[in-house]
Amino acid sequence: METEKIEMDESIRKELEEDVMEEIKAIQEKENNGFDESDEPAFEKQESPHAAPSHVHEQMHLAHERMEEKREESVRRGKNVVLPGDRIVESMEYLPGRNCYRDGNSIYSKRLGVVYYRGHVIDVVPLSGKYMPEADDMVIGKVSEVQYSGWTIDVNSPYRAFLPLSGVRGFIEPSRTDISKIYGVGDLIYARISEVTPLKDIRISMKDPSTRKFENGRIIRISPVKVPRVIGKQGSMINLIKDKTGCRISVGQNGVIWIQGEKEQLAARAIQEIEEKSQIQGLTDHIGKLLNQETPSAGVRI
Amino acid sequence: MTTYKRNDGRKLDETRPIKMKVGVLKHADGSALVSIGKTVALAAVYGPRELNPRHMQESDRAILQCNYTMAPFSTKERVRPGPSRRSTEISKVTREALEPALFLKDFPKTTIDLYIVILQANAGTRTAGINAASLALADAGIQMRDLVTSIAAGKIEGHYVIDLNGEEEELTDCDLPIAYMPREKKFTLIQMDGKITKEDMKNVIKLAVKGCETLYEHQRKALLEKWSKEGFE
Repeated sequence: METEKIEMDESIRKELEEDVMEEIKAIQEKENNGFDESDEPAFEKQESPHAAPSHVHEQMHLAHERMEEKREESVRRGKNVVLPGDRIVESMEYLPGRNCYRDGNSIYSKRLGVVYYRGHVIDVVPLSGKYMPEADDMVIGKVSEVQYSGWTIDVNSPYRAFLPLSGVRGFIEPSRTDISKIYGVGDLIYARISEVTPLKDIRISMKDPSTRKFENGRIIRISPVKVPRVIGKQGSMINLIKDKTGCRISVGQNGVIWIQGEKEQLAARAIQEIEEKSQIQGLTDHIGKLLNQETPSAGVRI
Repeated sequence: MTTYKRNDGRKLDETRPIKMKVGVLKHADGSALVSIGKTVALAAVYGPRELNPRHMQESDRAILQCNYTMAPFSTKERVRPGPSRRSTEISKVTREALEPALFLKDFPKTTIDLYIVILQANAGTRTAGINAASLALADAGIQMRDLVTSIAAGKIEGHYVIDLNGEEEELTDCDLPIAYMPREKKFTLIQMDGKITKEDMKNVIKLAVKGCETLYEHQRKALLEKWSKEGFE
């Protein structure tokens, strides 16, 4: 297994290096042209949108990071899908990470997924399954209950999350305030998961500047394992959809997506296309074409 | 050794034709359709999901709720819908056959709901149901130690035979369904109808294990057929 991985890396390393060199060149050219990226406010982790000029080093660092990402992805691409109980590696050198377990000398998969090496840690990235809350995830949830000291939120997972009064901005005196005026049953919020205990008590918070309550727009749900595809590398995919449709879009790690704008239908169609065809090559191009056709095809399932 | 001629012309250690398909239901989190000869089983998995009423929750693990039913049209004589003594028992043994393969502690307080419907019955419905259920659980992305395979073997007129069909079932001296985890090499179910000596039992189980390994290959193929192209770009 190990040798296989190394061989694969060798075969594509040149290609990757070329890619990266080109990227670095492009970045340097942009620097010289005084390029400034004034992007719309993004919701997911994005490297400083207003990159000050003369940060070539930082950019190069980014390019190298990207190369690292590509390398990792090539490892993923080369690995076959594993089934529960499949042996991933027979070695004490590795540690079982996510979705795998050790039994004797070997590490086995717990789930249907794709093997992914993180240094000496082995992860299995699942291909199906429910959303399991993790601390610091940004999720879209629906208020399901208003209590004295907070709200119960449905975050599209097997566990309800709790949003305490201390998790919202400002001081609230519960005995004097009708807290359902802040968030009422059925309200949709974009929140950060602040805490997950081993017994799966989930706390969320609305203190982050990026969190908010949605007033209008529409919600679609996709499989949570497809969320990284919808976002794309450094948000490339989601930014493409935002650009072409002019919609505002927020993607929750839990597979709930909020869309608002004139071309909601088209954006929703594109996201569903990503979910359905997430495995094809050149997905970004495909979605670009779809968005250029402008008119959404009939019969969209929401 | 004189050979016993089976009524459908199979060899003694040959299973009936096996077909398996994963992901047959869009709405379920995981699903599978398994047909072994004339027996057809459909399994659907929902979850892990919130468990209500709350007093049923286990604070440190998930529970598996298993529901085995036979469709009214699954046999020549209509099956009365609703739970029966038999279906309750099979639901229980199916649950116990699958639980050892699951990492239930990974999602405390939740439930995994498993529904098995026998669309057509011709002996071996519980084993077909377990095979389908195991596929459906894997399809749903549930944490599992191993897949579970299941098949029956028995003894007819002094011959060990595998995967009894409806007609053979009536002739047998003994009919022994097992469920088996092929990687762990552990049994999760052994039941038996009839009488058998200790020596015979060993041989029958050995034969059934062989059958389970064949089934395991089919299960792998079925899962990969749906998922192998998914991978990453």
